[in-house]
Amino acid sequence: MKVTIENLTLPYQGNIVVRDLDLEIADGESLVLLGQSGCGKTSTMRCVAGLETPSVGRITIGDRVVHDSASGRSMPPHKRNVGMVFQSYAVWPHKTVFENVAFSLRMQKVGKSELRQRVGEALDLVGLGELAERGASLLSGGQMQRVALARSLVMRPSVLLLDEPLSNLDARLRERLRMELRELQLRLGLTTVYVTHDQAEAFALADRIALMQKGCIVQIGTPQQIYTNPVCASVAEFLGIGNIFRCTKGTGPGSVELSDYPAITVAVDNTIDDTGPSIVCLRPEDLLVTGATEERPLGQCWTGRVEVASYQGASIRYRVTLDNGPEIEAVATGHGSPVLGIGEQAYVTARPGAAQVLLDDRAEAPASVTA
Amino acid sequence: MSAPAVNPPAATTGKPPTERAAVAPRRPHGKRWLPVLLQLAVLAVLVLLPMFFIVMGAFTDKAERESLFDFGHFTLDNFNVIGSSTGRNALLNSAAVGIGSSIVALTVGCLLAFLAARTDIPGRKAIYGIAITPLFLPALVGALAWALLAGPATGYLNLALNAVGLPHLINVYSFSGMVFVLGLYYAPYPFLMVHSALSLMNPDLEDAASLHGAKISQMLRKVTFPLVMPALLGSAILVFALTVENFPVAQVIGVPGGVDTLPTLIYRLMNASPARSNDAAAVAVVLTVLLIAVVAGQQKAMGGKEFTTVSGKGVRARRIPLRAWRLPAAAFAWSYFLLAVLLPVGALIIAAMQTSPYVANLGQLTQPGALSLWGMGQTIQSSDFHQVVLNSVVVGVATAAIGTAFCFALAYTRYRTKAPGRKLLEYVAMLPLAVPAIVLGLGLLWTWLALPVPVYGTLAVLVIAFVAVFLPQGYRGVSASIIQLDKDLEDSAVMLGARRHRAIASITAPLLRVGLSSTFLLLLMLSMRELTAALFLFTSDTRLLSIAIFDAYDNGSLQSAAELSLLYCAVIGVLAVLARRFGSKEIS
Amino acid sequence: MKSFVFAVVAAITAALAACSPPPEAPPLARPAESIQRDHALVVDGEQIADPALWAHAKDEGQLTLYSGYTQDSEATVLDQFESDTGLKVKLIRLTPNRLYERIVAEFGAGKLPADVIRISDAGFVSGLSKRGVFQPYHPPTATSLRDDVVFDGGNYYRTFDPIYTFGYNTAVVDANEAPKTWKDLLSSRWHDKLGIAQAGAGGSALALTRFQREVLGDGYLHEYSSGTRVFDSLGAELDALARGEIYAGTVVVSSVNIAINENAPVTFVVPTEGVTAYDYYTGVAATAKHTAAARVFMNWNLSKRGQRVLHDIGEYSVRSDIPAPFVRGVQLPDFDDPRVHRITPTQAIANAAEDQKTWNGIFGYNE
Repeated sequence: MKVTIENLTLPYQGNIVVRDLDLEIADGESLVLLGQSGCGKTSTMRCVAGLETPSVGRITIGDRVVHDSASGRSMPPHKRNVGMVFQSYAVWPHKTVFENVAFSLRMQKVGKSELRQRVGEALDLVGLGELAERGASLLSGGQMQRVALARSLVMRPSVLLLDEPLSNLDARLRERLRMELRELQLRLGLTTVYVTHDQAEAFALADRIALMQKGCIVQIGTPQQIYTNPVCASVAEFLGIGNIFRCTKGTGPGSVELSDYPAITVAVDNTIDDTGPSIVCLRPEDLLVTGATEERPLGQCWTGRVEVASYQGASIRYRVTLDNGPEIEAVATGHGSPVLGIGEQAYVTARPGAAQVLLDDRAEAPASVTA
Repeated sequence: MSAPAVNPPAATTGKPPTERAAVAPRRPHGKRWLPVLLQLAVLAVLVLLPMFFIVMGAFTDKAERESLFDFGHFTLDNFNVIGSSTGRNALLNSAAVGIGSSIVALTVGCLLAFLAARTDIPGRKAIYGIAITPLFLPALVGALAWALLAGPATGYLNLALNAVGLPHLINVYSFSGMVFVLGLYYAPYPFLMVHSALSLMNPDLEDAASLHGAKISQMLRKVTFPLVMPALLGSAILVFALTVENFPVAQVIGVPGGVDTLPTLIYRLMNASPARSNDAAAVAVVLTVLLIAVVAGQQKAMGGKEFTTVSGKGVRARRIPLRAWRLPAAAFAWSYFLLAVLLPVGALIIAAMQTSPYVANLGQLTQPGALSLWGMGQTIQSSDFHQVVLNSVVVGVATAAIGTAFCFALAYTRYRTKAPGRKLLEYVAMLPLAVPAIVLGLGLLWTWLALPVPVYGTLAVLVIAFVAVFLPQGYRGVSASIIQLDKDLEDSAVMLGARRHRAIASITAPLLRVGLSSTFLLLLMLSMRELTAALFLFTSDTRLLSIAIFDAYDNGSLQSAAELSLLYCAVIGVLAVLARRFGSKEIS
Repeated sequence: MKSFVFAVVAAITAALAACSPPPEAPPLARPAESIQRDHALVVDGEQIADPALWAHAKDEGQLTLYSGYTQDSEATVLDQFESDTGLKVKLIRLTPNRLYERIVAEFGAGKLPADVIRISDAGFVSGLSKRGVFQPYHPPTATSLRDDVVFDGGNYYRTFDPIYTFGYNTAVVDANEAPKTWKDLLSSRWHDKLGIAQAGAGGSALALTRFQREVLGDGYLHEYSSGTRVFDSLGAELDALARGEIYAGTVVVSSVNIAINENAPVTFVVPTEGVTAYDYYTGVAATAKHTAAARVFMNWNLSKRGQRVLHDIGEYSVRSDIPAPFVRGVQLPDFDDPRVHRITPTQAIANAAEDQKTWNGIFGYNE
């Protein structure tokens, strides 16, 4: 079901945790709230769930207004038909797997045979069919997470909320469950809101990502949109886009020079904004490294010296110190080109249109950041 | 059984801590036994010998022994005392009082815990303070104060009722009086345990219930309370055991009302002339068996059902809004404070200040010269008082120091070495938990009269007794700290060349400072409050403050008992404040 | 916070120190009129200690007394002794049965610090004597003694006889409905408001029991037992009586005397059926460290001066030249009067066990 959040504001102990937030989630969409801890993403989700009460704002699920601060009406969580999977799983240890999953149906006073059937279906959906009678405290982490999922799915929720549910699992399990989650969500057409601080996870799971900072949504869009066009330096940094340097207006139009290394100029497509400090970013995958003897590709180019060369099979990751310039990370394809040695001279070429100038909104603004 | 630790129970996990391989020193086979044997020997003298004498006393017939092991003939006749009407009465009363006061203590304690931990009751922090303050009032003092307040003819409350025309309504010397006083003063124990369980509970568990359709009442019923049940049951058993073996309240409140219980029966048998030691021992055995059965039953019922209390990120537990119940709930909490602390302390102050011990109506108190602090001033300045306080402090500090050190040795051997038989050490160290203090005191009397070591009649025997009685608490406190300490820290010192004992002294012990000092303070407080264990062991010049109060009461001078009780509370209060200052210094 | 606490504590201490003492109660026992301590110890013209003993005692300066005598009564006696002699007495007081147990235990362990022992109950004291707890001594002041005062070759002496009768609370009981005889106590008026001290509390209680069984009959005790609160000690019973928790009960005259001195609303009765007198014995301990002071104490106790003090408190003297006590306007009958029933040591020892058992049975106590 569609979820609409308007003007959401949530204070907590003197701070504003969520600040005048507007968000629309389409029916069947998977929306990921991405940001660092403390940015307000979990609080936003908990407001949707009804576990927090915002001071200002309106939340609508489907065609029901579940919360309206203006009129003071707020539907309690147990009536909202919202499912939630917690980071700590929150599987009740004193009940069996079956009892855990059956809980919501018992609350709705569903008949015994229908209950049994639906619980069985939900457990099969997550692959825990045989463990129905096991005590919930005896499960492994991954199994518990599946129980939590089944528990929410069985009640056919209007919205499914997931609060960093995979962060307590080890890496391989995490990846596997991530895929399963995405598959399930697409199959069932569930509207899902997912909270995470892991950018890779967000990209894997989202139809759209809402990047949050300090209680506000800074950028919202598809993963590709966000990655290719980050709206500001902090977003770029958070997304792991490397090679971010402070810059100032260059001599000619369409070029900037690095603030700390004025000798280096970069040609850019978009104009620099005069309202504040700027940065220029160059993605490592957009930079090609060639040795002194090789043929150089087209595009603006700088010389430098190889510091680190790391052969990774499909690619080679270089760290090159540009002459009169900063350290820069770049990538070369694995086969074809020889691996350059340390100290060797190298040419770094930027693909046309790769450089982007963004507003520098970072608080400390370090001199330069490499990925 | 002795009073339990004040600390809330540590969050337990489902799996026991795995023991990592120790960096075992290369020692010849025989020598590995040495530390365990030594400690076992000390434990045997402290704990096993007294129990041995009790058991022997119960099953033999010699009343006055000529020599150490002259026991006389085996007989079961001593157990006839249980069959007699006095004995049966005492047994039934003990059980009934235990159940009744446990219900009261649990109800009050759990309600307060729930209010303080989970609701939006006004002044939550104050409520927490209210609930644990009675812990600083020893049961003896509470009983005395309530005798002053609600004694049938001249209790202050009755005098007040009389003044407004109501007849003498309240008689605290009754079964209900006992249940009331015991329930009041043992409520803090379930409070602490349940409050901790409620606070440490993962709030997500309740949120999940809410989201999956449970109203608040359903959430409480189906998720919150079942998860708190282990703590609740555990505290129920604890309170039952403590109230059944409680002596001071039984003696001060129960006996005048004709309610005889097993501890007072033991005391009376020992005070008969000639002392009926064998009968007393038989009753002691029955009391101990009763307690062991109850505790064992609880272990079985609870077996393995410890629920993990994992706190997720941000322990922001759900506050249940009380709405219309806010004021009644607050009233309930504050009336508990009134009944448990304010009224009793007030009664003690008035009784201590009365110039004439006898008061016929409240009006007499308002006349000039009726109240004066002079008596208190005299008592404070008397050398007898100084001696008694000095004794209490010396015994307290010695018990705390020796107890902590010994428990450290025990816990270290148990958890940090691979010495054979170390589990036995723990078992014996925890044994005094199952033995009522009055029984242990009795056994200690016979042990130290019989042994050729000249400690009877000195403060040393009191220290020995208290160390024995509080061994379980001390051991639990220290072992909790040791378990949490990473073994690698000490082992790395050994790898770097330090000898094992050097590593312990310079690495482990300092890191355990906080745990050790809090155990020290716990033992200090416990021994300051103790009466029952010392009952049979003190002599005229080794009286403790608690004994002095009981003596004064026993000789019929309630006023002197009230004076001493006030000073007693003051001394304990000072110690508690010092404890907190030292404790917080350590942590910072 | 800390300074606040200190301020409060300082204020309280100052208040306590500044408080003036309440008006002093008049002394119960008459102080001595003349005391001479320079050469020999002579009080009221009577030599208590000869120069040699006195010099020795002054050197020692103190003694330790183990006594079963009621706390307040013993304190009164010691007050007078200390003002007469200047010797300090360290008092260890326990009820007689507990005192006995403690002495036996400490003596057996070789740790008995007593110089003088005072205890009631013939069984107790002879038991101690047989164990060798006493050492024989013949006080030169022990003249004009009645019969049956010296025991076991001077090991211990009957020193005084307290009087056991009954009393009532004057605040709750009107003078005209007050009980006047033992039989009066059985009326339903006093049901549930009577008290008695347990028979095992020492010689006093056993003596009373013997008297009640002999003179009043077992039936009397049966009736008395219904609706009576049993106290572990006389002191506790008297305190309860003074507080009005019980309206009437068995009391010792000297204790009532002392209580009245402290404004307690109690009084005693000399009933027609009679009163009980029970023995209190004193002896010098074999383990005495302050032998000279101990002997001075014995001398003083058996002298005219000491016996007069005991008479003032309300006890029967063992000297024939000291009259029966006169307490709060009531003249107690002469010691030889048939109304005064003294239980002799032989009687006591012979009947003690059986009396106690019967009593326990009647009162359902400690069976």
